[in-house]
Amino acid sequence: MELITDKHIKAKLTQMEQPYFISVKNICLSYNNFPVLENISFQIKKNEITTIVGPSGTGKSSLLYAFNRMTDFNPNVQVTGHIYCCNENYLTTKDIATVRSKFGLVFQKPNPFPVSIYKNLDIPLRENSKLSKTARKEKIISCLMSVGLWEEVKDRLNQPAQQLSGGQQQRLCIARCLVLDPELILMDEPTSSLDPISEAKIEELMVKLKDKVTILLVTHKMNQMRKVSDNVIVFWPKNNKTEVLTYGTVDQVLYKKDNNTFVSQYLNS
Amino acid sequence: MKNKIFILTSWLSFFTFFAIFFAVTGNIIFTGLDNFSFSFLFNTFNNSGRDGGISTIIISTLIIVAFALFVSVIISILSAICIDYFSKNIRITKILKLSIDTLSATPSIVFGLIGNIIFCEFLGLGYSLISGSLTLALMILPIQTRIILIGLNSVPKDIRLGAYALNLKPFTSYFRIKIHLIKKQILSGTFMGLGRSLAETAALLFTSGYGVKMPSSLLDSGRTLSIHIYDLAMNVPGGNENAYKSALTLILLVFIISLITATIQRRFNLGQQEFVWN
Repeated sequence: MELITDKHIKAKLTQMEQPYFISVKNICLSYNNFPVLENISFQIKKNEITTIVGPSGTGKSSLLYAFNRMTDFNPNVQVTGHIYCCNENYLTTKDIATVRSKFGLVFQKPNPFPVSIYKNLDIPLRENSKLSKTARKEKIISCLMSVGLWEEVKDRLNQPAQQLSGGQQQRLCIARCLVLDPELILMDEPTSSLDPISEAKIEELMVKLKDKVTILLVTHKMNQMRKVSDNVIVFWPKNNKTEVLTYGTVDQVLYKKDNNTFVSQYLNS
Repeated sequence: MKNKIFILTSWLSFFTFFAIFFAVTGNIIFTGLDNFSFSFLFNTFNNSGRDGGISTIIISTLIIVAFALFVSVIISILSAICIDYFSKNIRITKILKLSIDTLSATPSIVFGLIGNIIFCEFLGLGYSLISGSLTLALMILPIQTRIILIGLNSVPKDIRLGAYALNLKPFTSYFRIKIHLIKKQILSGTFMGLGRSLAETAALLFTSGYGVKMPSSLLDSGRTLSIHIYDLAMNVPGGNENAYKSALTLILLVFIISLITATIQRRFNLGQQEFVWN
C-alpha cells in the first residue's frame, strides 16, 4: 500500500489551490519591436475547450505558436511573460522537447508528411520515446481509433498520407499530436480549409477528445465557438495593441451587457 | 503585326534548332553506322585505335562516371542539406550560393588542373580512374548541389513547421521526410551530372590519362569515350572512322540513360498526379 507522505498532501493541496491547469500571465508579443499583444493574461481549465476569438491580426495564432515555442525560430518575434503549467514557465524553459510534446499543435491546413499513414505517426513517436516496435504499433492504433480514423485506414496504413481526403488528413494530424501524449492541444483554425462534413467530424472529435486532453482553439467561426467551447476569450484591438476584452463561458461572453455594437455584431455573426 | 512577327520568329528558331540538331546527330549516326558492327563494342583497342574495338574504353568510361556520380550525389545532398539548415544566417547562405554559382561556371580545364595538382600529385594517385572520377565529382558537384537546394527550398512551409512542432531532429526531418519531396531534383541533378561527365574531355586529360588497357583497379589509368574520340580525331591519322563509331556509341549510351531517367521521372510524376487527384 502506498504511504501518504507530507509531500503527497502538499502536492494535493497545491493542486486544489490551483483550479487552473495553465496560467498565462503578462504575455507581451511583438514583431520587429512592434507590439501586437501586451500584458495578456488568462487561465485554461483542465479537460475543457477554451476558444480564442477575435478579428484578424490580433495575434491569436502568434500566441498559439508561442505556446509551442515555434516563435523561437523567428528572430523577428519577441515574446515575454509566463505560461505556467505544473509550476514551470514553459515560455522560458530550456527543455523545448518537453514543451513540444506536452503542447501539440494542429495547423490551419492539414500538413501530413509525404510518407505513409503509419509512418506519419511512427516518426514522431520514435523520435520522442523509447517504446518498442510493438508498443509503438499499439499506441498508433489507439491514436487512430481516438480520432475515428482506424476503420477508414486500417487496410491501407502503408499508403501515402496525401491520398487521404482533407478531413482525414486533419484527423491524422490530430492523431500525430496525440501519439506524444500531450497535455494540451493547440488548434489554429483546424477546420478553415475543410468542407462542412469534415468540419462537423473535427468538431465532434474535439468534444470527444476533451476527456483526454485540454484544447486551446483559435477560430473565426462563431458557430463553431458556440458548439464546442467551454470557455471563450475575446481578443480585441485597442490603440494598435490587443487586449483580452472578455473571458468566460459562451453565454457569459455572448450576452455580456457592456459589449459594444461592434463586438456584439462580431460575436453574433 | 507584332503577333505575326513573334509567331514567325518562334517557328524560325524552332526549325533552326532542329536543323542543327539533325545535321550534327545525323552526320554522326550515318557516318558512324558505315561498317559498324557489334564486335566494335566488344573487341579490344588495337593499332592506336584505328583497328579493334572500344570494350576497355567503355568499361573505363562507366567506372569513371559511376564513381564520380556516387561521390558527387552523396556530397551534394549533404552540402545542400547543410546550406538549407543554416539558411537562417542569410549572409553566409548568400556567400555559399554565390560560390556555388561561380564554381558551376568555372571552365572544366581549370578543374582538370586543380584535379591534377590535388589528386595526381599531392595525394599521389597519379593518372588514374580515381583521380579522373574525383575531378569529375568536383566539377559536377556545384550543379547538383544547386538543383537539390532549389528542391529543398520548395519544400512546403507547412511540412517544415509540422516537423518543428513535433520536435523532430534535423536528421529525421531531412532524411525521413523532406528527402521524399526532393527525389525528382536529386534525379535531375544526377542526370545533368551524368551528361556533363560523359561529355567531359579537358578535365580528364589531366587526371585519368590515356590508358587503354582493361582497368584492374581504380588506380589504373583509363580513357573515357570522349577522350578516345578526341585522340582519334586529333592525334591519330586515319582514325576518323573509329572516332565516328565511338561518337555513335557515346550518343547511344546517353540515349539509353535518358530513356531510363525519363521512365523513373514518369513514375515520380504519376505519384504526384495521385496526390493531386485524391
